[in-house]
Amino acid sequence: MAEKDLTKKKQAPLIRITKRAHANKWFSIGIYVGAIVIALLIGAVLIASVKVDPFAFYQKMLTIGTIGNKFAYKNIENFIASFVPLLLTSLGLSLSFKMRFWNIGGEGQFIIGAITSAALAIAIDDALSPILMIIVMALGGGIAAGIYGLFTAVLKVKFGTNETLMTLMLNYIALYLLKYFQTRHGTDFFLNPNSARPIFNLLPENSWMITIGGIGRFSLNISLIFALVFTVFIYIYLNKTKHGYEICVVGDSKRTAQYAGMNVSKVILRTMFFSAFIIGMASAFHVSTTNTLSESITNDVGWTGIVVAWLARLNPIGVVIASLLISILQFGCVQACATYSAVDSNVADLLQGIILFIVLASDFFIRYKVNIDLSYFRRRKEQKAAPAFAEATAVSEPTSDVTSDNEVQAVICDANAESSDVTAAAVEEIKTEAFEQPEKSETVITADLPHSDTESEANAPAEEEKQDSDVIESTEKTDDSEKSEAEKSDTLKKTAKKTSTAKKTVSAKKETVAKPKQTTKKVSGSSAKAKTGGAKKAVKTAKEDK
Amino acid sequence: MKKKLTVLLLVLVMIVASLGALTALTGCNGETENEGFLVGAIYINSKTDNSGYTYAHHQGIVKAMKELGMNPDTQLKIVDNVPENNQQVTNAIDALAGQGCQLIIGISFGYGDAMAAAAKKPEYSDIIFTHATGAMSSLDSDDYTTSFNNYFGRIYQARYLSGIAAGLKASQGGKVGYVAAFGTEYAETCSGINAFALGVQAVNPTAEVIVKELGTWGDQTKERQAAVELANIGCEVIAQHCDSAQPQIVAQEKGIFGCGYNSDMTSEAPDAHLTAPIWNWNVYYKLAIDTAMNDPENYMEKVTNYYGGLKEGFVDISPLSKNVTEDTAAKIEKVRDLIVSGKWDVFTDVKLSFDAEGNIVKTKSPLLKADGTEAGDVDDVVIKVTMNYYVKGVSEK
Amino acid sequence: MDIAEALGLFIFAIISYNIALLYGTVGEILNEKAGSLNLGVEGIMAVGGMGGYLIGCSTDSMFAALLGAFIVGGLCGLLFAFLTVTLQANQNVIGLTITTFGLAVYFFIGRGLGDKFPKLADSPSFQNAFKAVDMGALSDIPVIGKALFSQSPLVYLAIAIAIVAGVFLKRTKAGLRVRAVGENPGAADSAGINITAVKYTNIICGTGIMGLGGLYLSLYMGGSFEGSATWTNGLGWIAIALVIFANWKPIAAIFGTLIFGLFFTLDTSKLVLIDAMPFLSFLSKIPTELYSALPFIITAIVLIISSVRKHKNNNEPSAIGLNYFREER
Repeated sequence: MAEKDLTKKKQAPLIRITKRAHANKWFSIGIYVGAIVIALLIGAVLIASVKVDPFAFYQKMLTIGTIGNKFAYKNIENFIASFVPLLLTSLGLSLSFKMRFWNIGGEGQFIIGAITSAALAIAIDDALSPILMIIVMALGGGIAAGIYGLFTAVLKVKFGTNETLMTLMLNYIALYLLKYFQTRHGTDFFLNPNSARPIFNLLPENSWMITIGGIGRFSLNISLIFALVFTVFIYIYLNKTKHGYEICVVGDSKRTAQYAGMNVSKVILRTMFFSAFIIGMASAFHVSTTNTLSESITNDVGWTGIVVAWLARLNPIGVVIASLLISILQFGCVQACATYSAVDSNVADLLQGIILFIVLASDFFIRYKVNIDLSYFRRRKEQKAAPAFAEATAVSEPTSDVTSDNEVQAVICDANAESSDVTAAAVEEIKTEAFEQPEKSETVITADLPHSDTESEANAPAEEEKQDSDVIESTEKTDDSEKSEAEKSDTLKKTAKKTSTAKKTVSAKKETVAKPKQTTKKVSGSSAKAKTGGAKKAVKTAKEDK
Repeated sequence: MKKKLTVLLLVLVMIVASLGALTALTGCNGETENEGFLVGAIYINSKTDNSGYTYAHHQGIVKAMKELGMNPDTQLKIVDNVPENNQQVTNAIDALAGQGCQLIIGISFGYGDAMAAAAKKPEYSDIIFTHATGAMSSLDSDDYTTSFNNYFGRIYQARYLSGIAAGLKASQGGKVGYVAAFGTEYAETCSGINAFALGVQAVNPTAEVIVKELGTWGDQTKERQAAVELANIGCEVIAQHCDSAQPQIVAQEKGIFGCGYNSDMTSEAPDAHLTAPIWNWNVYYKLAIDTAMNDPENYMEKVTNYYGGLKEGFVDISPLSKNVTEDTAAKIEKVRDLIVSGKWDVFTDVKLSFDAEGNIVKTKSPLLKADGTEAGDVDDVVIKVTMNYYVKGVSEK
Repeated sequence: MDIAEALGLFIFAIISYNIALLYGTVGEILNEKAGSLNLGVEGIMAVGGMGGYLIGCSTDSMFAALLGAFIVGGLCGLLFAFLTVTLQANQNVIGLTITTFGLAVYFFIGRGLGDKFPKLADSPSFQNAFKAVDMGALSDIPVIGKALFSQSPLVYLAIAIAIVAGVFLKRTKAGLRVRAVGENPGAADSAGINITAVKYTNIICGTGIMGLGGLYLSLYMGGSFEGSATWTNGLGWIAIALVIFANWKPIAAIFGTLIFGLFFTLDTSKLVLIDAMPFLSFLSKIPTELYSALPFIITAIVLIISSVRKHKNNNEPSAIGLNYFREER
């Protein structure tokens, strides 16, 4: 599936995977629709297995039970009530994800926002008019959640704490806090005083969400209007403002952002606060709509939001569509299962999982180009006929392993001292292993190229520093960054430079290919030492850089 | 921007097209064959459970409908796994109402607020709402546009009987364990524990009833761990007020005995299970569904806020297993007769015990709390709502 | 009950339930050391346990059950590895999806089987293989005898796996390679390590071990299926926390399990302990929710402290959570 180990075979691979420059929009949409269709087909099989007509089931599901329903407007109202929190939460999460800040803490931030807005509602009671009350709740919930998220961001910025793990822990802490408030152990501030059992109290009436009635019997929850307007705002924020640009660049590469003069810490803190703020607002709206707190107030929106944000490729318009689809799936399933009791209410989770797997799997083909080189077979035949000839031709190709060797140095240097010990040790281990196996001596030699040359030894530290930046860029980059044109050409130029220098040294060293084993040992030995020496030097410089 | 809009439009068109295709394939509307009266139910657990609280309710509704000549497959609409969350419950109610249900049953306490709100809506004036273990009803205020009642039962009577079985099995003065989701915080669990203890004491006056409180419903891991603890401290019988069969399974593993709940747990613990207080929910559901179907205007008069007991057959104990002692059946029967005939109830100031021939001996003796003070009069309100103390002989570990 | 007895039962209870954590933690350590933050632990433990239990019951063999649980867990790992390593999908999203999906499959199978769900009592040799062992004189040592030497064989299996994993990671060449991949896949790749093979192997082995943990829980709960809650009951998330708490070291995880387990068991057993040792009465004033939240609070503190100190022994793999794509190196 992946490339063959080039250091072993030295031929252009059968299957080569490269990143696509541009993702074709139509292709992407096509993939998504295809994924949904396949998932629905699999689901249909499951539904048919309990002797329910899949088409009838899906029709009920996809129309969220509005057809043939005299209270159809209620279904739409309830749908909106579950759609809005998901939309807003996914928006908030997409903001932080765009910055490569993995905010897995949506659940916890939602809960904190909910608790705060409920507390405000109970404390303020009827001192404010409904519209003001909702604004206060939204701001209060947003700020509280924002601080909860900011906490992790500060830790990340100052100490490099892993944000995925930290926000995960904070989720559970918030959840248990909520559970604590539902008991009489500490305080019954949130509880219904008239109830025999501890149960969350209904919030005061003026905190109930405002709805605009009059469209038949349907009344529109204004938080929907707010959410849609907010989506447009986020779209503009991300694509048209300086902040949005900063978020993109920081997400793409922190180094680049730094070199461009941006205050990366400030961007991270600000964006994370904003991201959590949005989630807190979502929870305030939800609490206002449902009129009470509950242990399951989140309805797993923090987890679903991550999936939605990802499906939508962090694009606000995409978030609307994706959250709409997932909401239809979940809400519609409840409706359909109510009609067709034989189907297990679990089927929504199953369908969601299947859709995700297929979409994420096919996402690969959207982002990466797969080249299948059939001339591989021809070349293999030729190689079998004339091995020596094939070697020389192979070596003269701009093999990426040669390019990589220069990068290896820089990469080892750039990593912090501790891990470079690990990798340097690993590298040495592998190389000592290689000594025992004749066919691997080539690897050793080519890897040594920069240092066997006395000239390049002196230049090594300087080169390494230069190569630092592009190498760091590439190691820090993960899946789906779309490089800007300028950056792309930059890296292309650099790669070209590297290959040309490498080529020179390669041709110089062609003779050494034939050298006996022992010499290679010596060479490797000394350069190994020199390497670690160079590594230590570069570590120092790299550290100063930081 | 234009491209994005066209994409959006295309997607929407595709969705609508597929919906249209589906609709065309299935006919004009998606309604199933609904003949006659529809009953809607909101469950807290899964409708496919094999045991537990929801299972008992589901069995009750199905049995009642069959007795009334209805077909549960087409006339019972269910929304299950609904947490105690106003939005979710409202979704469920609206879904069921949209299907055309005319009686909506909510089986969990936390559904009350949402159901009460629904019962006040003018558009739901032809739907009757009924709420298990609740305390609200349409008798409370004039805001209600329809009938809304709650129902519960004198399960404490059944617990007393199961206490007799447990007390006879344990050694005199021995320890009897009780795994309770909650203890004195809920009157329901509190009165249950006390009734059980009184039953144990009727045949085993010096026995200790040791309660292990979990603090939550439905956590089977905690239920197991609590039962193991009770077994470790020397309990010979383990009773329970929680949903899973774990305490009974533990009793089986440890070679001791137990009293289950909600259903006959002998199949899970064949060598340990004695008997279990169970609900015959179908007794109520038959009454409620019948009245809602045929005489909805007089629903509140006929059904009221139901509080049936042994007499109505609403609560009972599961058939005694082979593990009970020889005299258990006879003694239980005698007490049952007393209760059913109305001559005695658990929380009166008359204590029961048995003489050597197995006859009942009544002793006038005020009910004492665990700290030794008198409990005073215990009426239905105390049993259902306010009881918050353990009786003498009960302790918590 | 005297102090010795109470303590003994207490320590026994700590180990007998919480050892399932160790399975999940060691499995997750293997995943994370190779650079994959696998958030699907909860789902994998559930599905692995379900699979292992069903296979064990149908074959009436503990060995088959263990193998089955490992394979089912490993299959989930294969899915995760394929999607994240080969197809370069985002690890967090895939992990969470596996959790949701795994739980959905668990319920689908369990509820689908309904009445036909196999009873543990019908498979006697499978059931007996889980029962506590008796090591004679060792088991009779007061306080710790039963707790340490009278546990189920699967407890000792967990500890053995943890020790093997620890030694593997720390002292073998292959383990060094794994650590290299987790720290800096770019360098490791250039050194000739087959990143894909290392990641796949570790992920699959790790998730297989998680599956074993699921099997343990299924047997612990007596094989009684409940339609609304899983056997794992949130343990998978605690395992992720424990990985951090144990500083990514499997052998330290053994002790970490005991500490986390201490809090859970305190919550259940506090009253019995207070009876035997009245000076512990402050324990009953701590609310249940705090006991449940303690593992997460402690882990959060550990996370903060370790990153504050830029602790030399911070074994958190630097390249954790990042997919490795050679062309971008």
